[in-house]
Amino acid sequence: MDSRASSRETQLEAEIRRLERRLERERRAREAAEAIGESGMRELYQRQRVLRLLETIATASNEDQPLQDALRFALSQICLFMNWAVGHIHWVDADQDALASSGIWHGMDDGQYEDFRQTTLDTQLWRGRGLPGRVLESGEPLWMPDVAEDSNFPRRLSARRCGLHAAFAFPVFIGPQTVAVLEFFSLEVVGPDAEVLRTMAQIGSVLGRAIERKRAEEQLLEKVAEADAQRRAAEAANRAKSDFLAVTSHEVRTPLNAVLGLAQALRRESLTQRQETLVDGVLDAGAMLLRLLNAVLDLTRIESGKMALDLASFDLERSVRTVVEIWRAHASERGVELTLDTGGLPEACGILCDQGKIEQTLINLISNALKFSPPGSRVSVRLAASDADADDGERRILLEVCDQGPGVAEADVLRIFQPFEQTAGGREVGGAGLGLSICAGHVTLLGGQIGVAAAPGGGARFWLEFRARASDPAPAAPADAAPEAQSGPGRTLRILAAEDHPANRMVLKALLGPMDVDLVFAENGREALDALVQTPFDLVLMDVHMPIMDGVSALQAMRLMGGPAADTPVFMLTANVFDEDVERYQAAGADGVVKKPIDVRELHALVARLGPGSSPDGPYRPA
Amino acid sequence: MKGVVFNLLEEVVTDHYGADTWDDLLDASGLDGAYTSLGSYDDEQLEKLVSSACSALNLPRAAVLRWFGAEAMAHLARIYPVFFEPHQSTRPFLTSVNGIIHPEVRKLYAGAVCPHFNFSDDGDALVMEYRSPRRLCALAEGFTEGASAHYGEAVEFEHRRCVERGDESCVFHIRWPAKP
Repeated sequence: MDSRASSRETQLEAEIRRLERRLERERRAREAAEAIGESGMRELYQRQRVLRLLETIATASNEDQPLQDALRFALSQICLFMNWAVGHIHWVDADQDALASSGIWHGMDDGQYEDFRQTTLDTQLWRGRGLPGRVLESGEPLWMPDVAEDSNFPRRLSARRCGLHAAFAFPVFIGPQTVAVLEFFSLEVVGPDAEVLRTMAQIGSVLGRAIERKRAEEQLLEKVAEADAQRRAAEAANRAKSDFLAVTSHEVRTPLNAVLGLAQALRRESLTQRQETLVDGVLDAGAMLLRLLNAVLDLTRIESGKMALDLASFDLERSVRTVVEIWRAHASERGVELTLDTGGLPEACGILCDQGKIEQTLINLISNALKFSPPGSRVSVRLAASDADADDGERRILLEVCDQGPGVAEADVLRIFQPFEQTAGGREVGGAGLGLSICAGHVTLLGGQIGVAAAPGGGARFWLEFRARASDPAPAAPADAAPEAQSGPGRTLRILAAEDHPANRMVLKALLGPMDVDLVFAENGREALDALVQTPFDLVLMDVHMPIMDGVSALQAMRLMGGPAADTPVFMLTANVFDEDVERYQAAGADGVVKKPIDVRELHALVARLGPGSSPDGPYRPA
Repeated sequence: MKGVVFNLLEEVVTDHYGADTWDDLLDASGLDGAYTSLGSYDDEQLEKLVSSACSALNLPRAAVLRWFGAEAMAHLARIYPVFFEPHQSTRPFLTSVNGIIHPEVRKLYAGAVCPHFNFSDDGDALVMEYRSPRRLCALAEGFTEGASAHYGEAVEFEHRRCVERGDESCVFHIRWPAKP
């Protein structure tokens, strides 16, 4: 009984021991499962941090910021990730041999590691030497548990002084080339972490791509800047050429003005028929030369963008009709019929536009057409305009000039609007190759288009199209109004002419000589002021460009003089009659401008307006 | 070897021979037997257990592995019905092992090293090639038989080539004769 009970007891005890053993096994299995679960969570968390780090650095590298800033940001993010103190970047030279501090650091803000920064600057590192040198040699990330104790770390004493211990570094590649080595330092001694080094290798490739891209961008910008500089140099050269052309033209115009003025004076002498013909020849040729010079100056202004629009309201039909009327006489001299078709115009066609540029363009086109028109042919001008647009109040205007000449060869169609481009035909009829480019410049300024096509039935059809705001034209000034001659002083007019050029003085003397005036000359602004102080004058004719004191300065000084002399009417004598020049003269106190070459009719009208003088006779009209 | 295999082995042994037998096998193999399905254990531990079973049952290694595979299939079908339900028969279930089952196993058990099987057709036979340094071809045979049993099919498993016989890889020709 006892033995049965005892055997039963033994069995139970054995059973309990088995169960306890199984329980213990299960408990350990559960603990192992929990440990695996926890380490899985930790791994996941760490992996997320790594991903976030990679993502943050990649995003910052792609942003539009200087490379230095992107790299400095990467250093700070890695230090934050590791909770390490110092990060730094070495550049690698092109030979893949030497390393140099980039000056990009993290952790240098409070000066605590200044010793280490300075030591880094003073320490020569190369392939194989020190932490970055070893990374450069192997091309692999490297971890040093304690640089303060590492024999291949030339900066170890400084590291020791600054309390820096663990370090790792990794390379940044562009293709096979190592371009940089990043190094990081901890305040603790830390054993190698292969996972961290793997992450850093990935960051190395992200930064490599960023550096490559930024460098490519910089190179592109350099190339753009280079191209820009070349373009600017070319433009400057072109401007210098234009300026030279303008200056030369201007210089030629001064003596030419004298030639024309003197020839005009000569024309008014009593001459034989033969002499009159010769003088007319001089005047015609001179006028042609002057037109050419003015065209060069116009073109220079167009090319330099200095040409401005002079907007005013005017009647388009009247303006075009006047030009056609003037040119009809020239046309009939050549046996060419010049017609105007305004069938496409609305009842009253006022526009706000630059009348001068439209007229000059039309004149150029008519003059061109006549050059190419054989006798017996016809040049037809057609003007059409739309009603004002309901939206913007603008009219669309079309102006065309058709001739029956040889037409424009297809190859020349685009070329002829370029300056100094001339067709064979253009050379034959004696053009300078400027007229059409000036037309194109004007039309572009008006915001329109100009072109050429074959005219129906042969010949060329030049057309221009532009838009202009519809307006009521200002009432036209009465044509050929007689100059007023009432307000004069009622005695011999005293005129002071300031002019440095002897030939021009001679012109003035010749032109004013026949009138009842008392003409006094000054050779510069200073002399003019002196003369004005001594005696009163009724009119001052003031040349602009003079030595010692120029015309504008003299005028300004004169207006400030006080006394009656300050109020003497002053007209500037000048070939520069561009809007901005005239504005400058007016601002200085000028009453008006007498344009060179002096038109005898204009000068006489001015004198007549100021006092009793001989009435203008034999006015010279440039052809 | 993933812990899940040891768990399966424990279940199969306990089912057929009782918990004491499993304890005895662990003792005979000198193992403590705290296996969790998420853990990874040396292949050697499985070999020790199989070897102990061989001694206890007086059977060769292949027979024990084959028995384990065939019996384990019923447990797997209970734990992971999702791999069995899409199929009506063994053949498509087997051929889904590379593309579907093993990738899922790798997701569930990080670090699992699963074998890759090359499949081809030879008339009405499915040809299955197995290459693995673990030499568990008998386990594969057992799994195939267990799966066939799950789908209610008879199976003829012909182990034409075997690494155990000096071949470069194991090649199985598998037929499922139509039911009479």
